[in-house]
Amino acid sequence: MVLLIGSFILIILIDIRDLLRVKNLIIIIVYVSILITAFSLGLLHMRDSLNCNPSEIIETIVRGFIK
Amino acid sequence: MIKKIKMSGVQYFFWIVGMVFGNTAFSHPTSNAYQDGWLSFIIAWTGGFLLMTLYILIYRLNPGETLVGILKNYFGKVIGTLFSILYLIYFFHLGTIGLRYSVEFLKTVTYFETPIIALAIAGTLTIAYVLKTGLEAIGRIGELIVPPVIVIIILIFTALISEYNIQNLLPFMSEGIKPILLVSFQTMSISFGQTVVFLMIFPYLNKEARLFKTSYAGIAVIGILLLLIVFQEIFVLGPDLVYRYIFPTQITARLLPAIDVDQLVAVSYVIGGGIKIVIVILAVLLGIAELFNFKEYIVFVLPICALMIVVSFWLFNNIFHLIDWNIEIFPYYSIPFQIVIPVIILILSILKKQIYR
Repeated sequence: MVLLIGSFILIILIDIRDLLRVKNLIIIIVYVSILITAFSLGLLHMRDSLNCNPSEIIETIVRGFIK
Repeated sequence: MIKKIKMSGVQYFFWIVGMVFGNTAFSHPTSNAYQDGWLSFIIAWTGGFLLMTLYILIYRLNPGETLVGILKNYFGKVIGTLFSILYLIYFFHLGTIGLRYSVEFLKTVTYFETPIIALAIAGTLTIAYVLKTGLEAIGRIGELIVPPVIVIIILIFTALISEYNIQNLLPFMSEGIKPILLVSFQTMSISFGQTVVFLMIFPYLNKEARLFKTSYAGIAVIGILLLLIVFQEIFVLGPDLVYRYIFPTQITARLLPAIDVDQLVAVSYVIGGGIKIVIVILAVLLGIAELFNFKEYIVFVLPICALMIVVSFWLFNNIFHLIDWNIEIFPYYSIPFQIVIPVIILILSILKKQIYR
């Protein structure tokens, strides 16, 4: 948990200069959304709360097509 | 679109070699064809040339456009954007598979006691640094680190000659042609089909790059090198052991008499995997920048890399799940992205050109 939170704070600290330089709200929104997605997925994965696995979903669809 | 930087033909050539090596080295799709793996590979290699021709023809008919731009032109803003997002997710997926393969390889072969997440973070930080340095540096990195891979492959192939047993190639086609064709399809998709990602890179090549010539040269060189690896594994280990080992090239290198070169193999694998991840993530970043009309992509490097680490661990339970999925599911999952949509785009491009005539 410390590693996850620490890494994300570090990422923001590294990028803050670039984010302030670009001064584009859409870029900041996209940036924050990607980071939040990564953080929440990481958190859920650490807690073993992610029951659905995209690979298994793709596998089910592909096997359905092959049959 | 970010247009300032242009890459040379030599840089592009080494990108193709590095990327196809990174795709194939870890997964060894031809091992499923046992002693006929070499034949499967040659068929897949021919398919690789055809796929590359398809992608180059698409670019030739839509010069200066990336895949995102081409999709928007032919399918309209809404459907084109939807297809573009699907492609970007596919490229990102390729990156996560590459990352997971690389760290699983390092964990299995070299760093037995290091936590896998530490390997992933260390590898991804390097990749993020490379991506942050910009397109020009990325191109030059390929020139610098791919030639040693070529030398290592040739060196090991030659040094092992005393261990070769050509009888391992027999019996020839004992199970018929069907399993060979299936493995060829898997190999074509895993090794060469992923070059569809270059549709995002082509506009950044300079005019002297001579697209057809350089691409064919790249596919030809990496094809020869991979064929050497396939023969080397069958000759030294025999088809059964090649099928059973997760990373047979590493085992083959350990059998070299007198010298210890297995870490050189590990280095070449990591270079291949790294080049592949850099190219696919670069394509994702360029795609995001074009999709949202941003002038630069550098600000998204770290969030995308962080997401890649998380997703790579979420997607696969363990290395066996990864290998099974990559060999059995990936080729079918990739058909729309590697073959169907590019063929539709090519047909539409030809029709458009004839109408305008």
